[in-house]
Amino acid sequence: MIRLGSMLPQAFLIGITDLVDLIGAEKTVKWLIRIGSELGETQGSGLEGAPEGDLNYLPMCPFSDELIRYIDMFGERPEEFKMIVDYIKEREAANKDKVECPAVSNVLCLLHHAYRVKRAEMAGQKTLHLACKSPLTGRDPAYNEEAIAEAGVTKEDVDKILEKGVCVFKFVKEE
Amino acid sequence: MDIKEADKLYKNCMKILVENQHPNGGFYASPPGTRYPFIYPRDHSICILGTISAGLLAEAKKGLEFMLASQKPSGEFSQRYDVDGNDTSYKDLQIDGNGLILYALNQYLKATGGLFFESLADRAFCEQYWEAVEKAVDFILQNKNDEVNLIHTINSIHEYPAYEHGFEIYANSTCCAGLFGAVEIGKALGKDVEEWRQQAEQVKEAILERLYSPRRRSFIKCIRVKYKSSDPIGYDAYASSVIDVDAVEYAPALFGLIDEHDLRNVNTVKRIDKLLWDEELGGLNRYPELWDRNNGGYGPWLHFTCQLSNHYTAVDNQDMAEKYLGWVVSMAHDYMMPEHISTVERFEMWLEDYTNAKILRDSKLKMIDLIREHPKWKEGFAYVTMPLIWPHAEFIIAYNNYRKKFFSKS
Repeated sequence: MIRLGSMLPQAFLIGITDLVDLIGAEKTVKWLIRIGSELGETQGSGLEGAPEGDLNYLPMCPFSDELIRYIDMFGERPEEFKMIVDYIKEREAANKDKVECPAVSNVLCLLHHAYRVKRAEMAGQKTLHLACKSPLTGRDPAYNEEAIAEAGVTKEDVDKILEKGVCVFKFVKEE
Repeated sequence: MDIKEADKLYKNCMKILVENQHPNGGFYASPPGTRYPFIYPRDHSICILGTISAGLLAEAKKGLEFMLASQKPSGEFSQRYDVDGNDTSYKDLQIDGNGLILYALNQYLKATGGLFFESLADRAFCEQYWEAVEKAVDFILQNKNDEVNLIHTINSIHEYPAYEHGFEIYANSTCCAGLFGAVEIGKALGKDVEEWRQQAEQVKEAILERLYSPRRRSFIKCIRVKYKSSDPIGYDAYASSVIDVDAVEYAPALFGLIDEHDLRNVNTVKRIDKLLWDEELGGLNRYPELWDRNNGGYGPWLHFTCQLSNHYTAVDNQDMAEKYLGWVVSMAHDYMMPEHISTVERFEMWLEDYTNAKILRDSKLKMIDLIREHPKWKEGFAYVTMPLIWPHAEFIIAYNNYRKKFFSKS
């Protein structure tokens, strides 16, 4: 049962699916990135995650509970979410700056990445998003192999951290 | 109390404070390579107060500069920062940090002025950061609930929302003291701070009325409320009170909101001493064992023991002040202090609880190794997080208070 006081996250997720239908994946992606970035700016400079050597990781996905709740209510993840993830992957494939793209395992990775990038940028640091595991399945990680190479680590290093976390990234001080 | 040992500990505490201040100004909560190599506004503020007490005003100023420059755009001070002042927090709001920074800044201002406040007080520094002061005050007031005039938080001194989410005593005492501090700073700078003064008075009255239980003759820990703007709060999802004893129920007097001799405080301290003094180990526990968030095993904390000694010193009870401070001196190892002390048996009990519950995360595994490797383990003690910088600052403050009170008489 959804309590009225906690319906906003679910309303937001429904809004994303509606928006993809109304304006398409590309514009929805831009919208999500803009939200993440704007929220990041309100919080000021910041570097998130638990340090593990030169990398940082999140032990838990901050959105997993709401995503799982959404799927409990509406069944398998909607086509619209998949369209967004596919769009990002296609865009990534064509993107010369792939190293700066997020490793996306679900629709909210975009929002999160934009937020994280903005806060790191305010701290004078570039963000490399190396990998992300789906909070829904806990399997099939999404990798950004260019980012992994630039970070100077191997996929095996990243996998080792993914055994205890869901999202791996690196902050690099801007020259 | 062994005064020679106390003096040696005092000197080493000053050394520890200075050594653990990063060149950028932040005081590590624990040294690099240990459990908390970050700057936590709460610990950091107490370190600033420790340096002020020790007369290390240049270090205090540097610490304040670091923190004031690291404020978030909203006016909040986050849970923790890296040495460059970047927010690296992973926990929700802990608003006592805002109160503590303002309180420490005012203590610094007063210390720089001393007996010649008008001519010597470092007004220029406060003027330089006046915008940060305004934002810090605004942030506190944004979190004030107008129905009860108390400040809302999610975490407070124990970072334990289960008992602190709502209107909590330490958060309210520090924020109220911080508001009064901002008022004093504003007056020294010739600003109009009447509105802030009125708001601070409202919070103080609310602490004395709503967070004090006349029948228990004690301040209470928290009025649990989920949302800061719940109105009426009686309908809030969490609406309830936490009436368990907690060492920080002494906070209203510790931060100067009421007199140490005030019966409400005297009786609160009696309850704390009665229920939290550890009969097996000595020293003061922070809250009841059954709250069961006792990383490394339940046991007494050195900085809370130092804090409460200040009460006994203030009310001229030298026997009790000695009992408290003497215990701290006797438990220091190599003139350094851990976060808290437990026994091997209690440590194993905690380990069993956390292992069975599957809540033993990576950082705790490292902590466990360090506890077992510590020389005191063989004597049956678990020294948890060694050293923690905070108790060194508290000892400086408490021992200076003790010396001023009792040594000047002899």
